[in-house]
Amino acid sequence: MDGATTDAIATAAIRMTELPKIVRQRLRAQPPALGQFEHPEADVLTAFAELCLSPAERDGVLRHLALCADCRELLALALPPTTATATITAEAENEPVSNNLSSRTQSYQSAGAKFGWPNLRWPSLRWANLRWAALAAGIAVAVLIVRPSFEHSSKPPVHVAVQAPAPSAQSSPAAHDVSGTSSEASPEKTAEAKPGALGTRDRLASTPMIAQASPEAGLKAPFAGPLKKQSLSASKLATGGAVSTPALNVPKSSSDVEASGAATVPAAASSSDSNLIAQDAAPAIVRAKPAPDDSLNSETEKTTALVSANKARPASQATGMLVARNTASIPATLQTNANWTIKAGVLQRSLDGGQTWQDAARADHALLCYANPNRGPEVWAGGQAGTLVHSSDGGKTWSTILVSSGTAQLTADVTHIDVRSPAEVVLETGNHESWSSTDNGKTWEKK
Amino acid sequence: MPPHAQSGESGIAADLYTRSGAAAYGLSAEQFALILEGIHRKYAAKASLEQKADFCAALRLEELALARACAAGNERAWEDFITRYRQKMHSMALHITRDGAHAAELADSLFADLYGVSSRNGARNSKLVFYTGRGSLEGWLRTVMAQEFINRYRKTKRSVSLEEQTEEGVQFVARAPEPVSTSDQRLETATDQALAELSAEDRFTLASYYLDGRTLADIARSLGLHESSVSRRLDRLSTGLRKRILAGLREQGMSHAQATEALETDVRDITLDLRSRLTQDSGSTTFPKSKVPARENDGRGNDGRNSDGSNPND
Repeated sequence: MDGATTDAIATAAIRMTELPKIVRQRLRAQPPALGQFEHPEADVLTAFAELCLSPAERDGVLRHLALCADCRELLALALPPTTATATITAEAENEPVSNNLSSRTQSYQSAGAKFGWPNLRWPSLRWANLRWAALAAGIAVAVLIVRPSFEHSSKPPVHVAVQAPAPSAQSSPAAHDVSGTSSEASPEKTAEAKPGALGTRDRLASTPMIAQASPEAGLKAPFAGPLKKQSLSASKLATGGAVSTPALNVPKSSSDVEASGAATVPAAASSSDSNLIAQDAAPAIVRAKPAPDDSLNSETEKTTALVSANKARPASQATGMLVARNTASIPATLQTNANWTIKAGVLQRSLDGGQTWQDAARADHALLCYANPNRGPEVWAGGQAGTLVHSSDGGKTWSTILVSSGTAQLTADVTHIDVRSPAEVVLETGNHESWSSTDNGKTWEKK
Repeated sequence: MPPHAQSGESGIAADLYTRSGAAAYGLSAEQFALILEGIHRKYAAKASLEQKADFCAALRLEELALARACAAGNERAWEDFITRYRQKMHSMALHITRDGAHAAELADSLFADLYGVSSRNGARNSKLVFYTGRGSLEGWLRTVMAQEFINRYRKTKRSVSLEEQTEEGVQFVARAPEPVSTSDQRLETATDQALAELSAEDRFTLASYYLDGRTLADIARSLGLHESSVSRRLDRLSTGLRKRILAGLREQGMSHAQATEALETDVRDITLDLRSRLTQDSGSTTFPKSKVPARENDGRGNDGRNSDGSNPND
């Protein structure tokens, strides 16, 4: 550790310990009020640690903890380990017990210092974080530069369905799993529709498509009939993790939604697209079914019918979620100024300033939090067991997002969603994990 | 209860039952409704129907069904439980005890308690009946395990033999002198008043950092904040407390200089420090280089760790 860093830490230490000694003495002296509080039970303490208590209950627990050293000790022991500590602990299982055990529980801060990183005072300014920030900034710049041209080329959307590429024989096993029944698409278009990797990737971002999860998953987007609640857990089982799961973009407008239905399977059948996603280990984003939309044009309906004929599967096999009730008739102006709330684990929306509320999204697990930046069309909602849903059209259609990065998958409760920019989303979880995406939820990184 | 309320309640219960997946573990809708009713009565007895629905929907229904089915002895539930949590329990135990042998012992002991090897009135007595789904089952297991570890540690500590203590020289260590009230009564009163004005969260933060020696990271995770927020809060609290205590002292008739002196300079602290140091029967240096400041800082850096990087709790 260099001298400057040591000085900084020493300065900070002096500054942090300016508490008069008498304050410590009086803090330590337990007031008689302790007797009026019962020790919180294990489940309440757990809910406190996972930030699941109501404000009133949380305040009660805090008042007790402020006075009770035993419960503070229990809480500290019961906190989930940090990622770094967990890794060290896992390694320790194979080590002799005689090793220096105290060193295993050092947090990432001291681990960073140990490996020679400059131990900057503010953790987010460390080199490891700055490296990722630089990478994220680079990706954002690249997307901004490249994306507009492909957005232009992706119009009109229906053509995507016609020109969607068919699978190639060289597709990897993972890609083959992902593409599933891709050979049923339009093989004669293979040559002209096989773009380069970058073009394909960007087209994925700019052109609405739905990828086939797996033959078992049977992802399909029937446009007829009301939306049905579907099994998220089933989708997770069927897709089996990030590597073999499909990915698709979230439409930016209602026209994209229409196009996604039209282009669903042929586009998904592109093994090169699927392969690309599989190689990138992108998380799966599964299309929820939009409500029947009278605005669908006849060509779209025709294409959808063809798709359905080729790819029709029982709705019970489809992956995804959700409910969106009678939203097609809601004016777009109101959709972007809706009020949102979560009641009984269901995301509700009010279009009349909070006088009446309608269920907007419901998942297999209770939803706990939501984000609607600037009351715009982008709505995110998170819930128990890693549930994350997203709508980019004010709640008209919803996508279930399976958050994963490499082999790690988000399974904890999503307790907070922070949309920092149109593309940057950060999730906080009940077990104190932090997941971030810089591409509007397509790929995620665990911090 | 009016009929429409009953139908609404039964509809909610049916929905919750479906979401819980309790049917897969052999729990009937009535049994599950009774479980929910018990939990609701325990935590939110006076809530309205709507509040009750919110409360129940926020529960970890799937894990609750699993835990209660395990407690009832359902084999499929146990298979699922073992698949999901057996390995995690060992990892938790290792994290808590930091010792492989103790970890295995602790995890196995808790597993036996969860399974309910002891019986009461012929019925299995499983700890899992106490899980109410308010937090995750994994978190609850961790808390119960931590409690078990603390209990064991206390039991073990009580049963240390006198011979061992003699060998280790513990018996020859001089007792720490009884704390002498060294401060001015007015100073104590002003300090108590200043502390009483703090919120519970502020007081928890202070106690965790200054009394328990927790790291900023631990406190931040407990409160769902960032470490830097906790650091800033501690700074703010220190400054604010100092100001309030000084103001309190002036209200009691002290001049500014007297109040500052009473708060900052307490020569008797140094005397106490020396006494406690002199009575220590250890090989450590009696007089550390930085004397009083070193005691104030406890040798801890900004992250609450000792200057050598080790955790003060280890």
